[in-house]
Amino acid sequence: MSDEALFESFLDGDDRSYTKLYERYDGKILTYQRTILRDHPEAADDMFQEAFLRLFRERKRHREEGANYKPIQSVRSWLFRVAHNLAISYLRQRKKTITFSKTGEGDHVWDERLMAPVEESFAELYGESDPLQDEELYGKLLACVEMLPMSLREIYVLKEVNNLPYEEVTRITGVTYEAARMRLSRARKTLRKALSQYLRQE
Amino acid sequence: MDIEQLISQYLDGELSSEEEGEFHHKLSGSPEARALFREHLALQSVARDERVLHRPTESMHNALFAQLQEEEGMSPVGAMPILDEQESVAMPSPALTSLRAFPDPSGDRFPVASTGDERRRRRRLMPILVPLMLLCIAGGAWLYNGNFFGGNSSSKRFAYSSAESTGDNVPGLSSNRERTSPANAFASDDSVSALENNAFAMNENVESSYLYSESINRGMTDRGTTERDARSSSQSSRRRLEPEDMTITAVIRQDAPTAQDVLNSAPPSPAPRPATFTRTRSNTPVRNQLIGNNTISVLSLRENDDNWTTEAEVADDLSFANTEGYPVEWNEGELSEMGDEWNSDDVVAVTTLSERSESQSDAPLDVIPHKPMFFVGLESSIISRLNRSQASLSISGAQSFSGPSGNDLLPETRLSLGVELGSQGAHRFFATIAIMSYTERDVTRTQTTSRVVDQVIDTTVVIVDASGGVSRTTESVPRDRVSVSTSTTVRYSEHHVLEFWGGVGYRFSIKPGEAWHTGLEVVGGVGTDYLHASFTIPVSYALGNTFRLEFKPGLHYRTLHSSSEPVTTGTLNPSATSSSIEERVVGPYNKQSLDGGVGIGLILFLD
Repeated sequence: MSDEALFESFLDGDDRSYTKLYERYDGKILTYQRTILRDHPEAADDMFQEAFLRLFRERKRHREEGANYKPIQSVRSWLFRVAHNLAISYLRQRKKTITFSKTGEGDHVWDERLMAPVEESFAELYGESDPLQDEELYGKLLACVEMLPMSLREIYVLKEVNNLPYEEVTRITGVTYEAARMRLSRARKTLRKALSQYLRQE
Repeated sequence: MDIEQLISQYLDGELSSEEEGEFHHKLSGSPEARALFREHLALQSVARDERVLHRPTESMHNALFAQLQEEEGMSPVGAMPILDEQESVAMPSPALTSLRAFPDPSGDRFPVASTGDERRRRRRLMPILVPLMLLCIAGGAWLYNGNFFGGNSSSKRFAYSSAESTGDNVPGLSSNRERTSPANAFASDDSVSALENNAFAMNENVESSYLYSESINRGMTDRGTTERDARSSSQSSRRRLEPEDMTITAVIRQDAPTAQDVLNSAPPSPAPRPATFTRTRSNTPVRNQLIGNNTISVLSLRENDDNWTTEAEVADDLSFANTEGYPVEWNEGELSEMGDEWNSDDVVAVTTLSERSESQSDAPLDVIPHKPMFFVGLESSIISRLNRSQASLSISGAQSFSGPSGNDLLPETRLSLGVELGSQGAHRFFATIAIMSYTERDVTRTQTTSRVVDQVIDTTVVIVDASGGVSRTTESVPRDRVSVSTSTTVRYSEHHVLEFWGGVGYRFSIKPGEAWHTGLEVVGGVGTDYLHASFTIPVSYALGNTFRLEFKPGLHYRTLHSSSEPVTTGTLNPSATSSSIEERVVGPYNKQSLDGGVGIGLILFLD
């Protein structure tokens, strides 16, 4: 059953449909929140909960607004967008954010040197002689993703980890298609370099 | 376009057929390109594996669904444990301030000449009078609480706890904590038998230096809290209470009015802390900062709410966003460059946080006022002149009772030994030493403040703009909001005190040969907790040559010499999303008091 069908069922009063949606996206939303709120893991967990609370409250809105209720077109996009807004709002409130992905005119200039610290930090943390263990690689990838700059890791998690189409990525983050594409490319390149030895053995 | 960009686009399916052909051509001609491609494929494979995702813990899962069930009306889905919230229930308590009895250490002697008839008469009376006087002293103590030394025996030690929760102070948060009102204090007909039916909850594994305290379980309406006595362990005279020894005496039955007084004197609960705040931004830049070829105007920003005061510097992000320049990263205390190139989509807001502090403090505990005390004493003395000298020995026993007006009385017992120099009808000096035993009552009050920093999403924002105008809006921005609950615990305890006293005095006949005598006594003592001093002007009247009746009005001053009460405080971690602190103040005690009273003594002379 599609997300939207489940959501319709939930709006009609079926709580189990909500639970199914939750189980579909809990890991993805939590991973996204923790990626953005890298330095605030507790806040990420709170925002994760808040996102799903808001999803549930849609039913109340639906009942209150009746015919005026504007249905959610894509549950997945909606959830990620709420998660994005919550995280950015939190960072703004904490006065520790600097970048808002709003305009997005394209990443036409880029300096590879910016990513060097990511690769070095990863090597420092995990060493270069660790044998490749499949199970470990997943954790290492996430650790490496968290070292990326905010603008890159956000796009990477949405596009690559969650496999969202660019259309949804741009809608969630507010960046242009070109900017998202460039950032994903940079993120892939950086991560590939950082994890090269493991990927080669793979 | 370099090979990795091509690979990236290929992975996204974004290449046209022509570009894809070119891409395949590059791969076929370059082993390095093929290696890179394999690495990207592997990387994507890992990234899209479910195992790379974080998974919510069971507690997160349960918390979400519990909240959905409680607040949003979700039907039970699966096994979702609902957290119980501890209920704060007020308990009535007996109450009174610390009491102390006035010591009366002196013995006195009025040597008179006796005739043979008088001596014979005294000898006839002695077998009756002496046991009667001793019985009077001991009986007074026994009648009170069955302990010869007047202090409470182990079976009489008790401590009561009373808790009043002042409830939450922030509407809309922590709604599962309910404000509780104090239940009625002990009713006047709370008799011993009625109380004995109640169960006692004992705290466990209390260190030996702590006083055991008990709470009275009064069923659905009254529930006491169990607490340790937080006073210093240096007060070693306190003994631990044993559960099987617990009894309730009639002492508590008259305490209700004072208990209410004490609870009424509890500090007011902290004011509510709504999540409304004021933001003030400077009109003109406080400074300019050069980043690359661009100058950023830095404004000062001050935000106030009832929880936090934030002083910050913030860049004018609009002007910066429209300027080609370098991206900068937030860095506490200063702006710093992130790189030497910047992308126009990186709209940058720069904030330099300089201060964040919590400004609201809680009201301190009020000191429970000392109530004026009175004391009455019954005293018996036997004075015997040493053979052929003007020195006399005296042995005295006294049973006194003291307490504040309208309250129960506490006993004290004194045994003293003295010596007196001087002849009858003239000036006389005396010295005495005594051992005292009495019951001391303590009242301690503990205020516990729990704070939970929560977040509210939609908050009202009051904005003071550059021109001084004020506007009000609502922002969907999570902001800290603090809910505060305060509970005050009043606990009463008794402990046994043993003291040693020494004193000197002076007496004389108002008129030589007449029946009235007066004088002056100054006595000092050292106890486990207090230093004592008393000042007495005795007035006596001779009933023949054998007995004298004495009235001893006086004042008694005492001051605490033991260690002061400990105070522990916690701090709120401003970086925590939610946290709690506990501020605990133990006390207060009556550190100093001045009481008045009178002793009534009967003195028997022996030749």
